[in-house]
Amino acid sequence: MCNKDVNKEVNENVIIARWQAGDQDAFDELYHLHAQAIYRLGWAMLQQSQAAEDVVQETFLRAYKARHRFDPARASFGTWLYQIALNYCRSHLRRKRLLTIPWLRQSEDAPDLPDTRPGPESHTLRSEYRRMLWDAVQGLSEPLKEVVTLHYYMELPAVEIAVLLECPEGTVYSRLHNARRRLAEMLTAQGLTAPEILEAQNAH
Amino acid sequence: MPIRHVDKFIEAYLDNQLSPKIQLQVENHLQECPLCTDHLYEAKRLRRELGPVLRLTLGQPTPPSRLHMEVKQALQEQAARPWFRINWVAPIRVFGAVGNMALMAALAFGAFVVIRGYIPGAALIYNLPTDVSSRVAPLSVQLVSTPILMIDNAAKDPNSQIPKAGSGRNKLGDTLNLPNALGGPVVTAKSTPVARATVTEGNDQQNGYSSSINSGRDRPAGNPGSLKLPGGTIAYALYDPTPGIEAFRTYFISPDGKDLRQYPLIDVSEPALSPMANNEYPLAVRTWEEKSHPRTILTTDFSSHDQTAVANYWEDAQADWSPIENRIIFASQRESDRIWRLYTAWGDGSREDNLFREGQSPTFAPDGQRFAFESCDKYGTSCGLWRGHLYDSSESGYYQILEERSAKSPDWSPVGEKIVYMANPNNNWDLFMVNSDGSDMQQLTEDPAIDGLPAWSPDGEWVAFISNRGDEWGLWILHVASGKLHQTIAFNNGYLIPEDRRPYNEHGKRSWLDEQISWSNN
Repeated sequence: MCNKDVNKEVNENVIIARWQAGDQDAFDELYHLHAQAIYRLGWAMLQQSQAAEDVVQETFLRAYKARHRFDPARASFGTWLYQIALNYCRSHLRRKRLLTIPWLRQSEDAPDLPDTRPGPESHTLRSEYRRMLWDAVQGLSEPLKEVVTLHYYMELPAVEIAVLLECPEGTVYSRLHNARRRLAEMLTAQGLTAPEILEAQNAH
Repeated sequence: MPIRHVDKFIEAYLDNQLSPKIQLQVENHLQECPLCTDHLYEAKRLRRELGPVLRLTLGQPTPPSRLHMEVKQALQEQAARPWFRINWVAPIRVFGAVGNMALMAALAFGAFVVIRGYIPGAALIYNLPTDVSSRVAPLSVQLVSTPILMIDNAAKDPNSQIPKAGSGRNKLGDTLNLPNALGGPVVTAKSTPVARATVTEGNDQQNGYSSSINSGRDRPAGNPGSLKLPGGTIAYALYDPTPGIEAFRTYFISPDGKDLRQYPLIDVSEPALSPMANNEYPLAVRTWEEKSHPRTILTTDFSSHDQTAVANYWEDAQADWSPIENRIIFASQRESDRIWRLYTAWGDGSREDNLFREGQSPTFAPDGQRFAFESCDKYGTSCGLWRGHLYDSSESGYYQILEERSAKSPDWSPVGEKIVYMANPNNNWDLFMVNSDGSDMQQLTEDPAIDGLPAWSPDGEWVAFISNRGDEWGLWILHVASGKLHQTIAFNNGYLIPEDRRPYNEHGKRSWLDEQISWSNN
């Protein structure tokens, strides 16, 4: 297993070196390795399929432009791409916030998410709890939402998130902690108190 | 040491990332503390629920297969054009938005014409304002001979001090308000005849400096003295206190003062012009207004259509461009202790690096690797100018150039080892120059007036600076070898420091010393 990982890393380093030298075939391989994860990151951050595609394209464009600055000693190639993608997502969100004038808003600004809200027939305490939890996550501040998305959706370990966000690991944990406190507060404010949650859990 | 509550350790505890000692303490505490145990259950519950909720709602989408070819094609196009990236979507959006606004403006204008039967014309405004005011000292100013052609959108305002259409040229001494940058275009009219302007004296016989300022087209060639005035563009920012504006404006001016332009983006200051030719991002500015732009350092082209936020915090400030690459160095108070620290970032916003060094007002050397800045040693006892190296962040990579606690705003000559800075060792701000190794310190100005915020000319022969010589604040240039002075412009309706209110003073009152000016060939 360990050897496989080492081999994989060595292989990737070879591919990256070819790509840095301008080999187009190397790009194809890197794309297959990383595009899906970047797409998911973009999707999770921006919640629009077109915007997530833009994230993939822009990430590879920026990475290509800055390919000679990639330093394998600082972060893995995947983390480096995540960093670029995350920066792009942040600036995209900032731009979106600027467009407060109604006629400047594009129709695509609405999230493409499927409506997963439960219908009356499946209206259980548990699904209600999940819906409220989703709403509460959306109500978190950007830094907290970022960390929650990276940790719980992208399933990145805290140590990798720390490299990605260029902050100490303690900061990642402290943001996770703050996010948890904030989510608990918001759920309580929604009237979903602990006994109800317990009941919901016991019911399933 | 017993732990009071372990709430903040819970996430790391669940990830098994605590040291054995802390882990034991946390476990002991959890056995005794029902509150923390509740928090532990809550954290476990959220862990159990959050992942599924996010995955359920967001799904596990995959990129469409066509995207691969699209990205590849875009990469090939970019590879063919390494220096210019064209985003076709943005202009279409901008044109769409501008078109909408133009249509509405046209409709509103039509309605106005119908109702009032009045069409304001374009007015040629000469002689930009006088009357400088500054919080630093009471000021009154005369001068300025810069022609500006602007669409007179203030003509309909009865209180406007801009002359109405048809009222002719301004006379010297007229006090004008600059137009709102967002309200109308300002274009230069370099060849427009200019009314003969005033002579402002800045004589200082005591130091052998003389400045004979004679603006306008009647200016004798080669004034002052026989020296030819240098070229390039100087950028500076002033605060416009006009009610309803109350924001910083950034200006570009030629060193002879004849060509003054206003940067269209409002409420940005601390301009830094890039010395690199053919640079994608020739200007970096600090933005103050959160509503219209991300509040941080923006790099941008002069048309201001393509702004890139290169940093993430509004405390980021005092940018200086690398002379060799698309990179800025800057200082920030972003950490919670509000201590100024140094950072670098790429002009395209792709990456930022912490230099892990306390300091302020960084300035790049011509090699783009070394930089000078104001700072203190780690004990805070020996303060002054320091020198650092981008690729050597160890303690030995730093070198104290000069011990002078009041030394501020260093600027490293674009062509050599000279660093110009301001200091007030005798309770009066003057300009000084020192070699980057600390040798050959010279005082450049010695005037009872305040001289500050120096910036080298691209050829390293002149220094631009702010001064209140003759009791009027303005921008001056100094020929270092001969000591000749020339006043480029007298500030008129601008303050050097803003109103005492947010967002300018969130971490202490903003001083004029926090501003900067910049001079480049662009």
